[in-house]
Amino acid sequence: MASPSAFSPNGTTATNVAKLTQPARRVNLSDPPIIGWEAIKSRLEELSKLEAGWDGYRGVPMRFEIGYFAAEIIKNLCDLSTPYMPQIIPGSNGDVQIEWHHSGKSIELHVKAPYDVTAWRNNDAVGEDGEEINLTTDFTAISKWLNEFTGATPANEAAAA
Amino acid sequence: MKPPPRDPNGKTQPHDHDEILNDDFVIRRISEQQIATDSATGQRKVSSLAFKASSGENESMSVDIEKLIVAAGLKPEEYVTTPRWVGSIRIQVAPIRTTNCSVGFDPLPENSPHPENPYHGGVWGNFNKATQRAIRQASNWLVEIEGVNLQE
Repeated sequence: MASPSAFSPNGTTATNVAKLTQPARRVNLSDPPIIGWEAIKSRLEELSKLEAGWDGYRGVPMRFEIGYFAAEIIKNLCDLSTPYMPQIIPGSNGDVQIEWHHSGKSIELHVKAPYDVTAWRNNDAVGEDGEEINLTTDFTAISKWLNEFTGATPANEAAAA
Repeated sequence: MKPPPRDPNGKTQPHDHDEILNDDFVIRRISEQQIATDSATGQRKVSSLAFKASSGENESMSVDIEKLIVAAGLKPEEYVTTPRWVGSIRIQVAPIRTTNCSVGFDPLPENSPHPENPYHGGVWGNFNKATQRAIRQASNWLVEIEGVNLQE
């Protein structure tokens, strides 16, 4: 079992973090038993420390509350059986998009704020325009999307080769 | 170019500037941070998030207005890679407006640590998947990020 470790953006203090339901203190996330979690944590740390203007315009680092919420989404959607960990792409306003891409199919979760997520996917059934839904707290649909998305596991692909 | 409409706080309001013509081009800077990888093929591509406006009310997708850069005697490919190197794409305005987005002028003053950008513009609209795809398809690399597909 991995030991707990901290995720906190450099320089963030309780006075400049938007107050939601999180306590005004450094928050320790216990490491979930997910293969690839260290990489996710590392990526979130990186995005929290992006330089001002990282996008060539007036881009800001990932907002702490958005990173925390994105981490919770990933922890709740992924487990030991999830073969593909998502990538996390920063938006210019401190938002992020959690993305899975495999053989041209994609699932994208745009986390605009805690409890304000736009989810989109494409596949052969829904076509290139895909289907899009807005989410707040219930991510059951995304769990279903992921199960369908990851139906071809590396083990299955190896057997088919 | 005539100034854009602004709210009482000085923030540029969404608008379609009549001096930005359909035959003009805008430039969109693309950071390495905005590149995603297909886990099966290893192919790298520009994330769809790069073809969306910033989150927030009345926020735009930032661009640079190419003809203003040229009129100032600067090389666009040098201007958009200074002071920070990023990739960039060039998009004709007409296909953007075909998606019902508006293309406006939004000059930015210096605001430490950011230098001024008097050639800055914005694209406002409904950035659904069809719009994002249309903008992506209308784009070509100006400063290419090596090994990265622009098209899907």
